Amino acid sequence: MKIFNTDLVIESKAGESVEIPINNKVTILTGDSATGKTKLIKFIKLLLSDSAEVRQTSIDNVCNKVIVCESKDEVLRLIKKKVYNKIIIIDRFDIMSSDKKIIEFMKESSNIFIVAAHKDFEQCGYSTDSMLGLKHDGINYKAYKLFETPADYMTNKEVLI
Amino acid sequence: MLSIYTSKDIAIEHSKKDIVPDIDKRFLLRLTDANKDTLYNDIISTKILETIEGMTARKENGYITAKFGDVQLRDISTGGKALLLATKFNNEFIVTIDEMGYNCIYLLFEICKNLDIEVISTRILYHMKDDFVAMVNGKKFCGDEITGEMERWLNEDI
Repeated sequence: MKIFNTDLVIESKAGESVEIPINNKVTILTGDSATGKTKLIKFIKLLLSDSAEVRQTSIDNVCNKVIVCESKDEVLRLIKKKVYNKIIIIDRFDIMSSDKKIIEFMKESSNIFIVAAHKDFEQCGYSTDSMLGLKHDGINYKAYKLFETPADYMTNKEVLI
Repeated sequence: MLSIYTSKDIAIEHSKKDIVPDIDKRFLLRLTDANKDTLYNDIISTKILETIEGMTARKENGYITAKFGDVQLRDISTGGKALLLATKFNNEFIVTIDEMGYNCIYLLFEICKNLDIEVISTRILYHMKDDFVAMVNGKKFCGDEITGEMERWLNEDI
């Protein structure tokens, strides 16, 4: 699997920004309920709709086009359209992680995925290196490397923002 | 007591309650303009809103002051919505807890000590307290036995 080393930065003209490190094809934004995962994704969608600038901090990047999916139907539509070379951000991935069609799409396509989920992804066979937590300082969001294993994550109560 | 089913089909076999297919939509359908100030005003719902959403105050028109500022009840987290539906309408609904974070799940375990709640979980639940008792697909287990039984059912599916 290709390894990347870059940060995805989405920044509006007014200075609001989101920064997410991308090291793998699939990056998992994780955290308990009400920690801001959906909020972050809605914020990204808002920034993109306000013609925010999308850039990456290294030349490793695949492309700067970001697509946000908030439901399973939206992801299935992308599969139908055969979308490629995009950064696809998916909310509520827990309910999609057992869908073989979606998993196949994530494995086979040339897209990079950032997904928001709760679950311990050992069960799904994903690398836990790509699990990220969130920080929010009122105007900017930053994702950060969380813990080494899902078990650490589950037993640590300090993951809340 | 908490009853866990490891698939929708098993839940249908054991229970006549309605399985909620989409938490957000069902939550919205139950939250009407007429009841939005009163529906989740009971002790358990308030505890959920305070613990999960960080609610510090209620405002008019279904708004609450939570950790991300003033939000309507319809805009709280999916995990919070699932927990509210599971507890408030425990006689009507079976919800899927796959979209709940562990903070919601631990609170659900506490609430279940005094309330019968049925849920579907397609992920294995870990870190059970030794004295915690739950039904898994119709059989009673306690502590780590619950995890073991869930592993048995869910790994079979894989």
